[in-house]
Amino acid sequence: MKHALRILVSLVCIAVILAGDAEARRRSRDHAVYISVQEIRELERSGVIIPAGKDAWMTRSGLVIAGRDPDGRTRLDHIMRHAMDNPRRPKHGVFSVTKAEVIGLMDEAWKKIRSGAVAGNERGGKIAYTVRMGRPVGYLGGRKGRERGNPKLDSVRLVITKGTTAVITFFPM
Amino acid sequence: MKEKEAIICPFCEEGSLKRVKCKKCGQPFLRCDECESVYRDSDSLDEDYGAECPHCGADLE
Repeated sequence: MKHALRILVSLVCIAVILAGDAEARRRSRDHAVYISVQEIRELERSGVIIPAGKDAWMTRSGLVIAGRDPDGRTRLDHIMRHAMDNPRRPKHGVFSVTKAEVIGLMDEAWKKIRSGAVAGNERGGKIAYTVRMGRPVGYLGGRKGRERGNPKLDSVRLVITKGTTAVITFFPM
Repeated sequence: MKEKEAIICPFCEEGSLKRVKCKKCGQPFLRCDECESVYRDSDSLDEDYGAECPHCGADLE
């Protein structure tokens, strides 16, 4: 009886250790940092983004990049996931410009939206805008991108919370 | 083994829909990993529940 109990406890311990490792691996994979503190400071120094509180910034055109996504990334990090390819994702638009230029593109897109030139698609308290930038701004990455030879993309998609300037996401399309 | 095809979010057309559970009622739903759209299940992708659980209405923020 004691022997069986010992085996059971050992098995439970092994399961807990393995589950912990899997969780740690998942977290380290999901929580990769896409923009460093140093890069953020540089964007702030150059006036591309203006600090607006904890994990919050405002762009030159007044867009707000704030809060965290459900995975715990800051909204800025969520957007900067698109500064590099992610072959694990089925579809992943990748910017072919610098991180400062990503913010610049966001401002440029927002100006076009505000001018009334772009119609939005509204749903669930969000509005998605697809803005043609007139030049390649990125390429299609992820698994689909690789299959198609990473075609160039000349549009961006900006998703904001309805009735605000709060950015949910921004990527090449 | 063939990899299960991810469902692409019909709203942002970029993110994959991940199965998550409501912290309040424990019921599963789908959330886009890009634009955070919330759907009840893969058969009802025409309704986005925003920041609310499709089952109990709890705030998901």
